[in-house]
Amino acid sequence: MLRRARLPLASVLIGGVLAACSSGSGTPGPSSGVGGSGQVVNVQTSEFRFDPSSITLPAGKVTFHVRNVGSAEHEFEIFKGEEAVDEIEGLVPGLEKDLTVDLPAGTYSIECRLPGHLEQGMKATLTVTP
Amino acid sequence: MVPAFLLMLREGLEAALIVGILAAYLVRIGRRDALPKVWAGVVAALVLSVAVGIIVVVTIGDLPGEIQDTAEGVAGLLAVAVLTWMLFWMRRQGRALKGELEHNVDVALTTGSTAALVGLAFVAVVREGIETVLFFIAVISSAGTGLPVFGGALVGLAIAIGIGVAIFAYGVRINLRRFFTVTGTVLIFVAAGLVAFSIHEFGEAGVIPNSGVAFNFGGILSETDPLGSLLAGLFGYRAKPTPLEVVGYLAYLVPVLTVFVLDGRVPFRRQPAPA
Repeated sequence: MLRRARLPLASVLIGGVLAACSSGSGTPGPSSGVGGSGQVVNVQTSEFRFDPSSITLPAGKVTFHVRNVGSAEHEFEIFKGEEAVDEIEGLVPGLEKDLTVDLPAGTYSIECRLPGHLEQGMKATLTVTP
Repeated sequence: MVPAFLLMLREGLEAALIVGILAAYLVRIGRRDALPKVWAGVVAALVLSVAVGIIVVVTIGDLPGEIQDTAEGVAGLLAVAVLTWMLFWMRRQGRALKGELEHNVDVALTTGSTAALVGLAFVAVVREGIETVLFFIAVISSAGTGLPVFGGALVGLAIAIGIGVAIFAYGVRINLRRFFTVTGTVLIFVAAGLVAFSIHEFGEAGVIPNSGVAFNFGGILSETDPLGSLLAGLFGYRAKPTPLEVVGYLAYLVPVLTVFVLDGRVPFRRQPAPA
């Protein structure tokens, strides 16, 4: 079985560049439900839910650091009603991706709209206060 | 590993299919000399994808959704335009054939035509290329992914390219009449899929409203399943399309397919079809 160690050199170089330039979004961990302007909210996806499933934020810029801890592919899509705000697609198991958005006050929902996922309850509420 | 494999298969097929058909097409119309230009376009697209991907990640972290979605929608429509042009061009060429079919026809290709075909290959590869590069960078920089995910994605990409090569190999071997028929039909479905895809992307970008669910085959075949991934990559299959996406798909498919079928089973015959 292959061990974790050996990635192609180019990837290591890219990884090095990324590490050097990383904006320090922090390690993914137990999710926090509250953030401030410019802060980071950690969210985990699994089958079939978001953790946390309820988020409250002040209006402004926020970075969602989304990590898939499940075993299926997921998406992280922010909707205001039926209008798509922004999203992360292609979140395969183990993958972490950031999504930075500037959110005005209002009620949003976070959904995974892959076939069958939303139907099984993969939805979170996002309340942005003025 | 498997989800990453299927994702890359899906994404890679969209470009590999177009490039494979394009390359076979050039060979069959006796324009093998244009192939190096196509490969140059593909390589340029790959280099550009890697460059853009790295620059994006190092500077702004990720492409803003609206920009990415709008660009994908535009790229999709461009591909539809060139593919449609290819279809009708093939049809005209076929009609002009007289006598027995050669192994290949020998057709003049204007500079503009070559540019359009190379452009199609370039746009198809760039569209998927940037997404793919960003995905691999995300895989590398995620703590929870290791060799299995990276390897799975790489294998998915390799298989997608392999399918493109296989399509090319098949396309240059079968008899010319069948090549035009099969290619024409496949391209019609691919183009229809791209119309629906572009509608989806413009909807996500907020350029057009695109809400609702026309039907939901998620219980039967999701595009994240193996067969679903193949169909999604080749023909733009979606399990849960919006009504507008279905309308767009049919609005392209039905008229174009009708014109081709009415013209006879093959895209060309010796006399025009009766009016």
